[in-house]
Amino acid sequence: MLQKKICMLGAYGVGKTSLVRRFVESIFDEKYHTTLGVKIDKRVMEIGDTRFTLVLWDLAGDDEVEQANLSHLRGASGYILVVDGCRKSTLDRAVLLKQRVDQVLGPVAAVLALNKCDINDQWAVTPAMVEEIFAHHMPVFVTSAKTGHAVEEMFQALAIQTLGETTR
Amino acid sequence: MKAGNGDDRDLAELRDLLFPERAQLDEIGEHIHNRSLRAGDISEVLPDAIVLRAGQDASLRAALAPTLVEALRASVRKDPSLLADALFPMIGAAVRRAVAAALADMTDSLNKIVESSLSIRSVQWRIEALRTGKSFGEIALTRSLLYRVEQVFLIHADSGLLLQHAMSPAAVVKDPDMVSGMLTAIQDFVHDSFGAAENALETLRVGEFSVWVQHGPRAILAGVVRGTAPPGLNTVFATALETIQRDYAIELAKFDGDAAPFTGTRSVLDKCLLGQSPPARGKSYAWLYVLGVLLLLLIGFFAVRNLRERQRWNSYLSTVEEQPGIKITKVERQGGKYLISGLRDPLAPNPAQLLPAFHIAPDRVTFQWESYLSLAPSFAAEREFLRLKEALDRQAVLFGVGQTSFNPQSLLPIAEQFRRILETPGKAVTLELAGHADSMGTEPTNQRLAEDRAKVVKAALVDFGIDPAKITTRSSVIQTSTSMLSRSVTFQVLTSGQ
Repeated sequence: MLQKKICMLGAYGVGKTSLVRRFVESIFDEKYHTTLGVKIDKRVMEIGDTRFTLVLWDLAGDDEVEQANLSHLRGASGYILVVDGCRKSTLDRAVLLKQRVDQVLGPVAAVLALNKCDINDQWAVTPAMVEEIFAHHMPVFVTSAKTGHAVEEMFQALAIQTLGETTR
Repeated sequence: MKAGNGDDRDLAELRDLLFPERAQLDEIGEHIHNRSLRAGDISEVLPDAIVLRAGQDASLRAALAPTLVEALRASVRKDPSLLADALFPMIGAAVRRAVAAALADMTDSLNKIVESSLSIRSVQWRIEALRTGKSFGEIALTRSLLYRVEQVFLIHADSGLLLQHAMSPAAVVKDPDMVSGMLTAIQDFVHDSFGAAENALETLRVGEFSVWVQHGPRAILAGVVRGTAPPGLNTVFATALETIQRDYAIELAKFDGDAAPFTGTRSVLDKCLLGQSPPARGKSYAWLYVLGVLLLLLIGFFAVRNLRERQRWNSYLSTVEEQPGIKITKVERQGGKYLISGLRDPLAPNPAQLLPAFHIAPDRVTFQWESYLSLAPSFAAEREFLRLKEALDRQAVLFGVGQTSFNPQSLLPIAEQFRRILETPGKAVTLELAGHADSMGTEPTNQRLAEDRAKVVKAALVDFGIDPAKITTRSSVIQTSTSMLSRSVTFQVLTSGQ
């Protein structure tokens, strides 16, 4: 079966793990994040007739861009960039991360998840702000870790991009 | 002198003026000549000097060593307990550590070597050692190692994606895709965290499992091994990886997530699923089990036989003991034969006659009886019976020549004795009257006379109340005429069966 390595990136506490928890198969405990800095999950996708596997590298969100994270990026076919709607700083961080990733990986499939703030309705980051920065580079999804809203669509979009890359 | 004094003073003044450093020179001179001052000066710089010199070369160490050794020796000679006290807190830990390390090294190999040192396998190993020129220990260790390669992963080096996976049937396998990724992540982790050279991780060991990793430029081969594998396994993995990288060079370079082209590597990976099981003991020791079972059966058979014999013997002994008039005082066993000693009333049954009933061979038992008189009621009665019988058997009624009459009263005691004999329980007795006549006169007369004499005595006894059925008569003519008993009736008590 076709496999694609996908990295999940974002500042600390943006909800990368929570966002996909219900959408992936997992055999590793979440404590791997703190020990190894990465946890690996799997998502089997079906796009048209093609069945394939997304191997998700859920990287621990460091607030410093560290070498550790970058070496985990090697060989990735795409990434999911996560921004926390409650914290403006996570958007700045996403911008920085994208630059670093582009340096390492070059142009690859990518999506951005603006994770909805469940605690209050005071959005520090609006979809418009995100779109303004990222819309030219990758699809933006307003997601919810709590309800799982738009996560499936996000995976689909990413999967199609990675497939396109293969056929290219 | 006065002027001289003044001159001296002037001279001193002049000197002070010309050489103002003089006071300092004096002070320095003082420091050189005065021991305690000099010691003070040196003590200030000594630590720095030592550090400085020690940093330059090893000569300070070399210079101090003999002195220190001597000092230690002197100290120990003076008071050994000082050094012992100082070393005590660490000596236990040090010894424990050393012993543990030495034991850990030895135990594993020793166990296995000892286990096999006397077996057929060990002979085979010795032959192999001779043939290959390796040491016996080396061969024994290699052959004794038990391991199994449970899984082999072929992993794309960059992405950590799984290219191919092989596993032994018994392996517990979690999702190989994820495990493959995690293995790569762990390598990145080691590389990033400890600055290890790229591809440095070769073995990863947790408990009885170890992961052996072989790195290639584009692919990684990781074998999950349970147990202790020989180092040669690494070569097997390395060769496999080389084969794959050579045969699939193009596919590896072009890899973009599609593992399908690598299906063919499966056969190479399968060859890595090596293992060495513990030798099949069941087979080689089967005869031992059979022998053991036979031995047990044999022991069981003898035990049961012995038990049954003992039971028979015991019940025989208790039966004998129950017999009236027999007292067993000692039972000895000598070489499979029994010796029974004790007391036996002559009236008691013979214990030897009981032996067949208990299936005991008569020649296995010897008796040593001492006679005694039992006070058991049955014996008292028996003895009384015998006394009465003997008394009665001695009685006789005498007649005159040609006479058949007598004084019936003289029969009363006889009738009384016979009645008491009849009362003895458990005895069926009859009284036989024998009439006698002497040989004087004619034969028919004498015969009739003898019969008549018996008849009259019987009639008299019946008159005294004796049951006539209990009395029998016979007659005889006695040829000698000298005895008074030749004209008489004599008595004999007959017990039935006699």
